Amino acid sequence: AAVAQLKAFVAGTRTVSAQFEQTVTSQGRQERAHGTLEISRPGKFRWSYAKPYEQLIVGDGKRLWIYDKELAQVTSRALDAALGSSPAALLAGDNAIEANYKLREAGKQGGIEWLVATPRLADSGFSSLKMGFAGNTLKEMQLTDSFGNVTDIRFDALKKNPPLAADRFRFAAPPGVDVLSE
Amino acid sequence: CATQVAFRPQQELVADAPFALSGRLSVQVDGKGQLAQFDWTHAAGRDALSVNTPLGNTVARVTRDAAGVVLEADGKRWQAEDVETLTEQVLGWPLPLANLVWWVRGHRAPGVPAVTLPDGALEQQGWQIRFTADEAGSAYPRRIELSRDGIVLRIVASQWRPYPLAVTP
Repeated sequence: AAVAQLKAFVAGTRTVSAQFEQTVTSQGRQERAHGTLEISRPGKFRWSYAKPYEQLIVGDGKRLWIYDKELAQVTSRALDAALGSSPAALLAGDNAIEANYKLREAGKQGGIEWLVATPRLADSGFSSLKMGFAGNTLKEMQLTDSFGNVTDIRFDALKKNPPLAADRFRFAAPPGVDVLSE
Repeated sequence: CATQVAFRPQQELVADAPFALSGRLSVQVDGKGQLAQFDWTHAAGRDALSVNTPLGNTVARVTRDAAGVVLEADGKRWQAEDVETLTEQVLGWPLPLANLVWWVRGHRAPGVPAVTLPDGALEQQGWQIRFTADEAGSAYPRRIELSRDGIVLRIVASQWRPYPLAVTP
């Protein structure tokens, strides 16, 4: 069952690394992006977009940092306020998912067992979130917002408990880049 | 990183041709600010601008047509005569959308007094506007920076697309 696989996945991974492929379907158009994810429980993550543009999202345990290279801009906000904006924040929490979402089974499709997570607080940015598992490993997430945009994220080359240096989860703004707090 | 050259428009833009543009924008107001992705479809008298997180969920959407301007955000809906007053009232900073239609293509807004500053920047409607491109001779600027009394709006125009016929005026 997906919920049991989620619990096993969270309990069995102190750190995680993976590639992700993100597809956003909005008003009949699709936009693809891909990058890498690293997680260090509790609360630390690095979500880095490589294509179509370089953007880095880092949760250092206290604050969420977003750095857009071409805009030469960094924004920073308290991590708990940012839970809804990044699945990495959800995945990096010890029980962030159960604490913030009601979970229910949503059946099996193509070897993947799905669960639906409904936000306990209305304003988490997403109206619905689905997570797909196989072999106690997260395979896919699907997020839908109130404007009907659907974001599908597929994970592959997922490694459980890889060695990850602590500074992967620290953020220092590059010289000459403005840091704005939200 | 990308070279930065001042952008010079190639030809005098006369018609307000419809366009669809995706990119990223950052807003800075007295040291506070936000950064987001945007998708914008424009035709004469009609605009739909959605402001999204890196994940693609929409946090705000502004639509403008003959009936006026609507802003949807946080599950609520606001209405006003023009985009500047609406965005100033709800978001805390004025989005000069009507003139941005021209500035984003590297041109001054027609019929609005304009001054060219010593460093080549354009000044219109109280905004100082700087255009840069990645290489000389490009059709449109890659980056547009607008600044006015403590507000800095930076736009990266990443992808121009043909106007979606499904949304013809």
